[in-house]
Amino acid sequence: MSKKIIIYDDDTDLLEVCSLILGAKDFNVVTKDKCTEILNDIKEHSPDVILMDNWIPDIGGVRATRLVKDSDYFRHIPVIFFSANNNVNELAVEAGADYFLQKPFDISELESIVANAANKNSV
Amino acid sequence: MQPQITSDIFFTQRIGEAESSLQLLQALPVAVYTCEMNGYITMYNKAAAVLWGREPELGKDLWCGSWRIFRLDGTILPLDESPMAIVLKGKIIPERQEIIIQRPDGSKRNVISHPRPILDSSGGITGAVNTLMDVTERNIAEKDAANLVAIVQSSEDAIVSKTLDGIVTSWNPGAERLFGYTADEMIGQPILKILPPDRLREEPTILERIRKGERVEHFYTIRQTKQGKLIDISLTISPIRDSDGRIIGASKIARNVTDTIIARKKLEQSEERLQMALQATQLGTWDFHPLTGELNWSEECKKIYGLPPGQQIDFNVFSEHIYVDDRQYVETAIQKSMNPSGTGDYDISYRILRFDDNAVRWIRAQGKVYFNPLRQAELFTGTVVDITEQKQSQQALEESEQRIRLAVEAAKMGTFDWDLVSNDFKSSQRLNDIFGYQGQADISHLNLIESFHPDDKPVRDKAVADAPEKGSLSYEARIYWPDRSIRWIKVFGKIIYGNKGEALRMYGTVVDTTEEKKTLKSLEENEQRLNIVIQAAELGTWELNLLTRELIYSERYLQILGFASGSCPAHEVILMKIHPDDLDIRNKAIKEALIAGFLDFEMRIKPTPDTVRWIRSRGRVFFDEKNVPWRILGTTMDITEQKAAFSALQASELLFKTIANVSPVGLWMTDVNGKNNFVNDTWVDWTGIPITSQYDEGWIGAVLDTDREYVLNVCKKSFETKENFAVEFRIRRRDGQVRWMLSEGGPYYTINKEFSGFAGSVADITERKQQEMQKNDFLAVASHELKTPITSIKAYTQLLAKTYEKTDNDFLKNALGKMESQVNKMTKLVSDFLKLSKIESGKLQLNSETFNLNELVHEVVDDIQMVSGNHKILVNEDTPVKVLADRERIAQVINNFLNNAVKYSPDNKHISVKIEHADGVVTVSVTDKGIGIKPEEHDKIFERFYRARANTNTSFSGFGIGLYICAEIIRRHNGKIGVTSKEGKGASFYFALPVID
Repeated sequence: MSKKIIIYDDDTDLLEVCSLILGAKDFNVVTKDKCTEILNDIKEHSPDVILMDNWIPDIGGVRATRLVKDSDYFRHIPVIFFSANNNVNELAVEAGADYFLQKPFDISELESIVANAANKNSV
Repeated sequence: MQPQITSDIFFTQRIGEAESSLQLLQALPVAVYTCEMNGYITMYNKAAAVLWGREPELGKDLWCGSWRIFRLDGTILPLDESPMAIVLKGKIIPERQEIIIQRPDGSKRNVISHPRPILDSSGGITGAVNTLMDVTERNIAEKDAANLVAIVQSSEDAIVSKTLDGIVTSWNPGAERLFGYTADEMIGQPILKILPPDRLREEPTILERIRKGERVEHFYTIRQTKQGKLIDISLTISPIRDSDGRIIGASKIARNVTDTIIARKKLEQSEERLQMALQATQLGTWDFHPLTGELNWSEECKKIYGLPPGQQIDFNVFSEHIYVDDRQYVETAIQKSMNPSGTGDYDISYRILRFDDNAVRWIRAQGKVYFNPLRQAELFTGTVVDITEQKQSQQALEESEQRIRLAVEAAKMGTFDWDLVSNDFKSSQRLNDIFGYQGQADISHLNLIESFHPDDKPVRDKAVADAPEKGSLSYEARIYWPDRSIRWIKVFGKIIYGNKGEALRMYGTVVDTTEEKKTLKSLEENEQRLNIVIQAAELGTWELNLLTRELIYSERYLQILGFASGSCPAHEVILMKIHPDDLDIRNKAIKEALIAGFLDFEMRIKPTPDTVRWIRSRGRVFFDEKNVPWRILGTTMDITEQKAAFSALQASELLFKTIANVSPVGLWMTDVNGKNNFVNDTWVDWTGIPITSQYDEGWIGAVLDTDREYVLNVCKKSFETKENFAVEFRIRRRDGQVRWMLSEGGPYYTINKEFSGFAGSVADITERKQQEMQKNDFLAVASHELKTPITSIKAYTQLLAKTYEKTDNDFLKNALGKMESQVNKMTKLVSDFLKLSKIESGKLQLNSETFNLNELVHEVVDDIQMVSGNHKILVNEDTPVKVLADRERIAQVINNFLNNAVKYSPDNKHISVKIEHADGVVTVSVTDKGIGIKPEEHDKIFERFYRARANTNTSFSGFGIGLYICAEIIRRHNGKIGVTSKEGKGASFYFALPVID
């Protein structure tokens, strides 16, 4: 069964290209340009992995990730934090994310990190 | 799910592929190596071995082939925390991380590490591959450029460049502050905008000189700000040249000197006033400058000393002409006046030997010492007047007084003989006479005793009672004669003792001293009158009868008060000349004088309705026998000029204080031990610490706890080396706000070149700091916004490339490849942009340490040799030497010399480096056989914005700042930098530093 991923980013072009890349890797991709309803989104889609941008309406990636990681039901879901901020690694730690990815990235980086994260969750 | 691979053929294929990629890896100029999942190195290429400076053992060495690695802050990074180790151990892949690799030979390289995990089919980590990019050179170039940008941006001076047509091409924040125009308003505009209309002709002259390649230095002129205000500025203008050495424009540094010029003008004016005032007084005046030993006398003063006008004078000549017996006395008085803990007042009478006739003269000198903020006597100035006549008359009076007393005593002495046992008292006729019983023989002792004035009887009784124990009797008292007239007597007695020590008798004498008392009184009055006569030329004299209110006065007194000579104004009329505001002063002074016995006060008068003058009145109050004041004898002097002179002096002092205290920056000074002894009001205002608590190290109380140690260390260090320093720190202001401060200071010396301490300023740089932070925030946001679209572009490009991986369309493949490489270039540009912005200050801060210079030279040479394999660099040296310097900065200089040598000698590949040591100085020179430099350019190449003629394309150092920064670094080390060269015959660049034993 293919794995499911929710991608949060306010740049719809990026959502589209990521969908194409990960769809080709047999991922079931859900995209969101807001993170306001993140807990409902998770309830609805039960993702295996989440890709979260930093600057995203309306509560921002750090707080959205915290919501996931503070939830007893969802904290096991790996979150990959990705951002164009130079201190993306610090932001990832602050948010409690499991992985980080610096924008711009090589698509091979994206593929391997998402695969790795999705795989970890299943174990 | 991946398909299971079982075919042998497939394996063979894979091995073949692996072998060819291995060959490719070996040839790559980028360092690459792999580790298996436990961290053991399984493969590395040639470039990696070169970078590490060693060849690690496969399957035995862990994590990284480097001998040692460091973080960027210089701390050691344990190998098992290296980026590679983290990838293999941790979950989170580190950001591309810059680390420093040290080779076994000690040399260091900056490297960006990109470790990537190797994942198996299930996504588990089976190992990792790491590429290492050497970024050492890039960092150095970045630093050079950032230094220049920061120097220009942070300069307090206006730095402007313009074309030869006078069109502005750059305009820094200093220029914005000084002239009021923003860079946007000025760039592209003629520089004439800031010239006042009457100075427009200056510009062609300046440009003319620039075209000739001349520098214009410290040119004082006037410019006009945007607000129309005229400001005094000092200009330094240098030509800017292009790569061919042609002059294409000018860079101009302007400094606002308005405040300095105003202050100087005011000082000159106040000094002039002082001179005039002193010449107007009729006293001799002098001033002495203890710090320099300079002594000046006015012409009047020279006259008093019997010197011809124009004669030079110094302290020794002055000292030698003090009458020998008075020399010690005068010296002590001078020392006392110059004592900083005293009042600085000087008032002394002594004798001199006049220069021309060697006559002994009495003079009176009065003066005051002025201290500088260091509590050193800086100026000692005052007046002198000849008082010989006054002294002589005083002596004459004293002598005559003696003679009178002797005569009186000899003539009119009564005697007595008193038997203390039987109380039998016998008095002589003379004694009876003295008591007013002329011709009467039998006057009882009791009668005599009853004659004593009631007020004086206790004096007599006590003297008599004490006499047996003291052995003698002595007192003076008033008696009543039978006719109730009062007489003064003086009594002396002597006790005769018995064998057992008991008092038996007293013999004594009595003299009538009434006349003597009167004479003395009149003598005192005479003395006063004499003084008055002597000083009549200067002083007005007067006598006020307190009973009749009658005032008798001298001609001079009338003159001072503005009356016609020969006129005879009544007391009431005279009182009307007193300035109405000062009447109270006069009345109060007289009232107090009646108690104290002397009068001394200053007040204003109006000799004519339109003029105001200052006078000083002194006087003595005379009391009658009932101790009732009955008259005052006094003098009055016009002191308007002295007042003016004194207030001019005060004004000078005040001016300094005012300048210091209204200064927008804090000012401070220390003594020779580095203890603070002056801060201005500005600093006191900021910190709210009272001035008395600022001294010594009290000022540090204002500095935030976290910054204190750092600040004190910087101060201490520069104090030890007597070098200028600049330090940034935070203070808590009086209102609780935390503010950023920049303190800059340096040693200062007396005229005799003696070190006197440190002096400096403290500026509030909070706004600048905030702007810096805002700028960095802005750049961070801007770079984020730039990266966001790049992310999508890059992803699409790669996706396209992947999609068309197998296409036959070469154009499409090629185009996609180019797109990707351009996107990567853009990414790098954006992140470099951000790195530049992070450098907050371009000020060269030296971190000096003692190190082996020869080792450093070898390190740098090895680095350069590695990248410029075509050139042969030879090092010539004798015994190694140590220097105290900033190792990294000196490396930068050597690096720059070597890079230039490589760059400018494309045809002859031999470069020699020489380290020579002589007379405590080590000289490092780098010599090439390249294109060389024209002699007239030798000095210029160390200037900002200058670039030697070159055909090579421009790089960072192409901005012409590399050698400028080298020169700056060497200057900061108090070293020497220079070049010797002939065009076409190569060049030899050198620097010299002091050696540490």
